[in-house]
Amino acid sequence: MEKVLAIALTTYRESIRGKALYSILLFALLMLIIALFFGSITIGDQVIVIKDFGLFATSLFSVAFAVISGTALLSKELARKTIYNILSKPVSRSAFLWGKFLGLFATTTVMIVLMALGLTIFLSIYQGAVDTSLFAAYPYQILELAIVCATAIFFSSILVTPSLSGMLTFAIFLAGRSVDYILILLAKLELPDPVEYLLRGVYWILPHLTRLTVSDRVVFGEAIPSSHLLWSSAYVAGYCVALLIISSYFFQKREFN
Amino acid sequence: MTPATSLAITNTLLPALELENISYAYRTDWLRKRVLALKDISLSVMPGEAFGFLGHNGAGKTTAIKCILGLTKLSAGAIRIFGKDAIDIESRKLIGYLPEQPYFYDYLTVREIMHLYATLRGVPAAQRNSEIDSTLKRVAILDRAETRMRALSKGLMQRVAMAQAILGSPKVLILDEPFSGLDPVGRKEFRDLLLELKNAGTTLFMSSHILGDVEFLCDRASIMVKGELRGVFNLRDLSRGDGAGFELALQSCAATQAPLDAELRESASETSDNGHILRLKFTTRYHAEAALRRAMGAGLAVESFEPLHQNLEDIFMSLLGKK
Repeated sequence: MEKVLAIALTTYRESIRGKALYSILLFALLMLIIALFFGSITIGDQVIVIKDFGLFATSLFSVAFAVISGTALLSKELARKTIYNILSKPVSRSAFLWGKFLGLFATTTVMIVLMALGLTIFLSIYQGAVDTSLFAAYPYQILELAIVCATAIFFSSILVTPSLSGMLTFAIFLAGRSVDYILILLAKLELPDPVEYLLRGVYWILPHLTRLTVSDRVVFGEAIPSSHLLWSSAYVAGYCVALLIISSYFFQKREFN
Repeated sequence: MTPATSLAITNTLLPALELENISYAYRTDWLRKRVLALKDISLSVMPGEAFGFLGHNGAGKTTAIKCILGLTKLSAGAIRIFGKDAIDIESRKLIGYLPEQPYFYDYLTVREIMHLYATLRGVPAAQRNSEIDSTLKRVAILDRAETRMRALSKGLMQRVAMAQAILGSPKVLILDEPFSGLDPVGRKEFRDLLLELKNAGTTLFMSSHILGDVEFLCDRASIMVKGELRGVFNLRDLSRGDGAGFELALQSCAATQAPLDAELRESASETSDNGHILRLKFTTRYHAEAALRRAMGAGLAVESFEPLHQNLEDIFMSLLGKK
């Protein structure tokens, strides 16, 4: 476990010192410009629009970072051969993957925390009072990121091309956000049995990110029961563990030519 | 590793590193035929021995090293480190590895990098800081411990690479071009350090293009050509000067001694004459001494008579067909 944490800490330090801070600065700048823009043209409740946009931007930035950084993580290690130094030590390949996942997840979590702080400060200044109403949405965004990070690690462990891994990770993210449409489709259409079984299989394999999408409810002040967070956490933990076990299996077979 | 375990390992008759009929083939893609990068290689390196692993670029040295480290899987054969299968993670506790063209994480400091490797190597937490400091001091980079890797020159990076390789006192050091990127002072320091480690009982397995350093440090060396092992040479035999022939240097013959001159030249395997000195090379002591007696009997002035020392470069070039 100590070895996994050492790899995770290295991944976190390398990521946070490298690119993440620039993304956060870009986010803060973008937020300010867009808020000022909306403030001038919105009719109705400007605060709700800013909150909704703020959560959307937080999610977008962190997911984009996780996809780009996560899929480049292993290819960069291979291209620069830093992985040789790690795996020539008494470290298993699965420990390496777990360390990479935890480091990436820690980086994206810190990003969300910093962006959440920025958004809270901005909203508080805008409204003239401290506003913590969006805090309920952030744990779900962090859970969603865990799945995106694990998916990025999964594709990186089986594919050589980072751009392809990135596209597939983002495709899984989009499919996970739309997974309920499969059930709607099955309810509306009369499909042959094999096709229905296939679609039901895809439904269960895809991550159920719709379960983690609570932004609208939070923005409009709807309370979310704590049991929902608990069950969602258990689901995400199980999904990530399964994905990383499969990734480790493939990574174990990989040749470093 | 405890001192008792370490002693048990070095006392054993098991080779420190053993490659048994290893082959490695790969495909560049599914449609292309298999490329055989390593062909049935066998060699043993004994504990405390320094072994040079030579060959031109693309000969398969780095591929073989990757196989030893478990980074690529063998198509056939087996690799053992002190009797343990190299695929077994436990075997890697005995190895320190210095990669060719080492790269590290840009934004980490030297100390952070060393902490990572110390943890991975299993250096106990309580000893980590002192072990890191003493290792960095050993490669003369302790004063740069807080510098980020991206700010280091190639030579300093090579020192960090050596530091992480020797961290935790591994029993076998696998060194892939250890002198790359070093200035003459750095090279001398690395040579001295490796000699010190060798004298302390560490087994060295070293690939290098700098034949002089291999000759200086290693007891034996092998030469790889196109994935095949072309021979294993005892470098101590080379330094004794056996097998390379003899050279007789005489004052060039006067015009009146043309028949003698022709006779001497004919008996030699190789000749050169700068107008003042005639140099004759002989493959056997018998022929060399016969020519020496003939020349002295005819009253010719002998400048020198000496055995020729074959060096590693001669062997290397002849095996590559360049000489």
